[in-house]
Amino acid sequence: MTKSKIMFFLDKEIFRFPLVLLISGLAIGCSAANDGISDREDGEYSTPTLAAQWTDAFVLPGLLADDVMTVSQQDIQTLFTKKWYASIDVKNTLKQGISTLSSCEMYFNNKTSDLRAIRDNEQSAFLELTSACEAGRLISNAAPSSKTYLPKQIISNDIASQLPKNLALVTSKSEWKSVMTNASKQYWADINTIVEFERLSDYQAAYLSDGGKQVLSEIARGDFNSDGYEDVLLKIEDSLEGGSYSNIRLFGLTITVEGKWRLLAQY
Amino acid sequence: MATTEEKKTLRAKLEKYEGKLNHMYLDSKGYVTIGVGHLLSTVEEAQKLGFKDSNNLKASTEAIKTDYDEIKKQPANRLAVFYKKHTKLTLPEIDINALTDKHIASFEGELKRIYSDFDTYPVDVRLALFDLIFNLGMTNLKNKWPTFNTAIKAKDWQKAADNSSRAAPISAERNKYVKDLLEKAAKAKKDTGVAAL
Repeated sequence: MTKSKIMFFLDKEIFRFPLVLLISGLAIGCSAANDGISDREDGEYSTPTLAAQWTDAFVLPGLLADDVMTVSQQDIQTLFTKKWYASIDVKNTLKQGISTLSSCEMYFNNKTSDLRAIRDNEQSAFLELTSACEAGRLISNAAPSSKTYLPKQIISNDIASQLPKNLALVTSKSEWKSVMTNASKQYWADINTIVEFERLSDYQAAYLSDGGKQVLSEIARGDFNSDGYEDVLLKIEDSLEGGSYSNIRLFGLTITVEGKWRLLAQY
Repeated sequence: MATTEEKKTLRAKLEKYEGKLNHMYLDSKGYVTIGVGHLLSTVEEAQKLGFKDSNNLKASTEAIKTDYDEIKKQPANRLAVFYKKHTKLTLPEIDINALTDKHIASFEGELKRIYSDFDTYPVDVRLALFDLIFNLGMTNLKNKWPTFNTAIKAKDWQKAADNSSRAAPISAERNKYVKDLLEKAAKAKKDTGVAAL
């Protein structure tokens, strides 16, 4: 059963505590302590106390050398010491002399703002690993949230006109600066006109713009900034038609009381 | 037409920045690829190439299909070692270089479509533009770099250099390579202008 189906049950209020725990535990990763049925007040969902939930788009388990099972947040924490499917040579580490990373723990211990793969053509693989580690760290540390403004389904064909412009695909540094200082451009779709939308799953879709392709994935939900409200972790994979450029970015976002998407952080 | 020397320089830089793999792998978009980012859009395309088996004998079309299908079902954004263990065949270096040359010729045609007087640009400017188009593709370079393109078309190499940096995750080193090429052309133009006075 997919997460959206579970959320459908939540919406219809036909579930009770033991059932949702069973379903959630089987279908998606989650750690839940539920105290009742959700209610809705002025667009705000007062949810049962619900900790992080993650989707199939959380790929860290698949990047490890050994098979692992992740059901609880504690399980995710144990993944950090496990070996990746391969080690990778990096530069600009925190500790001099460390140049080969092979686990999230090593990555966390050596992380700097300009840490990157030594070989340029390995940067995408490196970003896949590090974004998965960052997502794992956020999920494992997420606090239970008691309220949410997030919609049941985030990935939709019009989400680009609601999400902040930080998610846009801009490859020129000069043009990026210009975009970020232009107050009239607020949303992702203000920068990249989406010409085609392709749903890949309940949590993932491809957005095609002029020469660009972006795959947006909902990785997890939880309270990542400890304010009591549910946030979402989105991953965006950028690539270009006919070019080798690619990027992987991870964003923490939430919806404010005014109903506007707000960027919490880029990881 | 890029000279033999230009092609050699380009190949070396592309290999450095894009990697050079003699077995099939997936690019970041999940497409089967070989050599220096050469897309193999169909299995038939792969079967036209001179793949060799572990005994250095010409690989059969069936063996090429096996490698192709095996790679195609893997996830994208993995290290080369991950894909290598799913392949049995390799492509000789001479064939990889030929593919890269073909690629360069194709990009040259695209650059001429964006910049009608591309052939008249200094060698350093042409090398810089080759690196950008290989990385960005024609559509992005043509439509999403207005400040840079205006400078190039005005042959204001210094302004082009100042607006030539690509956003993350392109390395500072690769951005510097392109900027240095454009600044070298700007300096040469300035020196020529002074000499002509």
